[in-house]
Amino acid sequence: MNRLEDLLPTLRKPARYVGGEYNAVMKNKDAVELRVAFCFPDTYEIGMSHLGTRILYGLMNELDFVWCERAFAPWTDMETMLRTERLPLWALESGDPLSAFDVLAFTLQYELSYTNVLNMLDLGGLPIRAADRDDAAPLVIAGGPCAFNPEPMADFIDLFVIGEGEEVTAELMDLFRARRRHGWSKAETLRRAVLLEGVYAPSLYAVSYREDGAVAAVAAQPGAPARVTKRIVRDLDSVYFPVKPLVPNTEVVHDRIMLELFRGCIRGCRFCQAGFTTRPVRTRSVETLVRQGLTSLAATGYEEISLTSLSTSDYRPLEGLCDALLGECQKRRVGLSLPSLRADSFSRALMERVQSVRKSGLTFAPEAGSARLRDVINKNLTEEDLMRACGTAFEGGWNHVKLYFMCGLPTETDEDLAGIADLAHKVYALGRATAGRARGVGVTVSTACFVPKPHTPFQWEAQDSVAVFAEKQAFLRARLRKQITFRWHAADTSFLEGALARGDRRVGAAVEAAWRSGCRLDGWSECFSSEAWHKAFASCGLSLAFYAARTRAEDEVLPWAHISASVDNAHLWRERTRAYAGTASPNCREHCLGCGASRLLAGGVCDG
Amino acid sequence: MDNLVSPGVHTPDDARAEPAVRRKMRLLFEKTGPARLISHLDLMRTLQRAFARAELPLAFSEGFNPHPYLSIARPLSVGVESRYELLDFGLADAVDPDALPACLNCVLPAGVRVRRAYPASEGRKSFVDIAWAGYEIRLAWGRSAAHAADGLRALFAGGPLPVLKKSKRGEQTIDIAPLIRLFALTPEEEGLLCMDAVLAAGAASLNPSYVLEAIRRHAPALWPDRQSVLRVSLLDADGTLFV
Repeated sequence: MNRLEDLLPTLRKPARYVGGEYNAVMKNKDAVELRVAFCFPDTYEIGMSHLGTRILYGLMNELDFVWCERAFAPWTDMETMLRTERLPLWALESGDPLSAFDVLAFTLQYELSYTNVLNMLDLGGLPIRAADRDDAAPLVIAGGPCAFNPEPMADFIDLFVIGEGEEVTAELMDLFRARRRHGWSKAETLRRAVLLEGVYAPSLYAVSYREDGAVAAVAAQPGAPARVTKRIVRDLDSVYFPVKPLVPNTEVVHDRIMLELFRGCIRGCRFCQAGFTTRPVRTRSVETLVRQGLTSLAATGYEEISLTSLSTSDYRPLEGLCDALLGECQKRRVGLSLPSLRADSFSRALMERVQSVRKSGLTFAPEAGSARLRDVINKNLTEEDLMRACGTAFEGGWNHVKLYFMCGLPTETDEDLAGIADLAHKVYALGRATAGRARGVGVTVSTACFVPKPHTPFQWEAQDSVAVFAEKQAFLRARLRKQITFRWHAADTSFLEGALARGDRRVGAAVEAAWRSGCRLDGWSECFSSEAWHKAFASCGLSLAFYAARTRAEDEVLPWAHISASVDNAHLWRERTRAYAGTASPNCREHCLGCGASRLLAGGVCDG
Repeated sequence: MDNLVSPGVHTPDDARAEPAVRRKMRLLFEKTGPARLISHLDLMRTLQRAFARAELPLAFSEGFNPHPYLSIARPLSVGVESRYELLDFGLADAVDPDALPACLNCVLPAGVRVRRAYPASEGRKSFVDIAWAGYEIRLAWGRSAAHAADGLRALFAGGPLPVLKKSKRGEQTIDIAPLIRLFALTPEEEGLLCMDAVLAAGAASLNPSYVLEAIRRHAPALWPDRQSVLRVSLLDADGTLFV
């Protein structure tokens, strides 16, 4: 009996802190050469729902010289216990503190998890700043979508991995093993690491600034590449995929098998960072997916398979894939779920193959309330498409439809906002007409605040201020009938997301100041303090508005200019120009716009 | 193409097409170590997935929202370990009960272990007949426990033990003495005492945390530095082991 055992049951959801899940990988720590802690800077429930985490955990543990374990951000009660009892944050498999590892690998999925990274380093017993960690400290690496603008975290992370991690992670593991064998210093290790494509060591780059606060230049030291280009996996059929995924003992957000149909997206929605950073489109074959699905089912006992991708319905053989899986699914009472279906492709044939849990609701994302604004953002979805999809859903027995919109998009007017309410009312009326009075019909309008993101055609835009978002919210609420459920994403959270998303290297000091003042778990409304963040920025002589709410000139050096997603800036600017002209662009399958991403395929062709 | 059926989870027709053969069975299992932190609802899901991994098809209820028939006797509080957990379940196919433990143990997460399986039998008692539960409550001090043993024996000698009990209807003070059937104290090692307690687990039931609460309230000087609770048995009204 020790004190920890007494204290754990007093915490909220204590099962998330002790591991022991089915398919968790246990190894003898004395028999491996490299110990890695994969750190997800949010709660267990969020982290265990993330496919990338499962992929990299499995991939690293396939290597016999590596033992990769997991660590998650502790909830507030757990943090209090750790600090009161002077216990370090531990990894779930071995229970060893983070300071005992050779490598800490963070995934940056969301800007509002940045303070959790610092908090986990600190709780793990490490200095938070890379410069303060010596040769003996674990090397701290980070990847994920937010690494496409690594600058706000540049002071804390030793190495960033840009793009897809499968191949470069394996290369890095070999390098770190060599480091251990040869006793290389940290500086030597970084110098060697940046010779790998897609690896960025921020300490080898110096940033200078102009009088007006914008970046003047980013200068690479000799031996470091002037631009770091993202990595991609060319062949999804041969790349590692986890078919023995962990099965949590406690409920997580997405507790199911996830199959990844393809990477990239043909659509080119101008607000969507993933749509640009994951290019070019690469596909898995039906055969591979069915094999992965069935193997995963046998290894987990899960009751649901989710077919994931940025736009699932753009997978050409989708119906065939569903049919190939359904037979086995029915035998085992397993459901298929298809998130991210486009409304213009939601057919009866597809609907009959879909199992949504308890047939509760379907979600469509028109994103904007008028045809004009949908052309501006290149959503390429008509009102007829949406009504047809909703009609199909209501006829098929669904009672509830969720509609996702964004507010604060470039060129948005009151008319566009009013269009959101009109669309919602039309869908509601259609539901009443189709489903009759026998069933209760529900329409939910969920509105997010638009956040301009790096590597998109809107990376130069000014984000709406919190006050303007509030006005727009009030305007829309006043127009929506009470039968429509209205959900609204907090504007102050989105504004911070906007500032961090396009922040430069100086923003790191504000992240640290915010963390020191008690900010953590900022993505959770019960923990978020807008005031504390504004104070933190001000204490560093910075403001959120400079980063979030300022229009950039075409020739301004953006903080992430030395990080390439292999989509040319010229293409992004062309798309921006077309947006302001209200012109939609064809999707990649209709017509290649020459964005530049196909260069990564070395003579190959994207599956646009 | 057009006459596809979505999975049975959804269609009542499917449930009808596949009549559930309810072969009621019972498992005796342990829940220790990291598994002591798995909540009751999470444990049900964990077991259901283990059955699926072992390719043991559970019988499902009929109707629009079919669910497997799984029932755990007297669910534990989070943090309590047990060597004596009972699960009733229905299988869609006949299975040799002797083969079940090995079959399930290789697909269960750490700390959940099947000890035996009992076949369905007409005369098997149902969980409503469980009246008592046996616990080993261990108390530890950073120093000798000699000072505590006599005091604890006196405290649990049978006199009234009023404790504040929380329920859905608010708090009320109840006397827990009648809900304790047996109390014995065994010194185990330096600074460690084991209380063997048999507590009511029927219509009136006593969570072992109230035994600790009684010490905190009536003999705070005896409060240990550490404590742990292990369930060791479920008993019927006359005190015989419930299987």
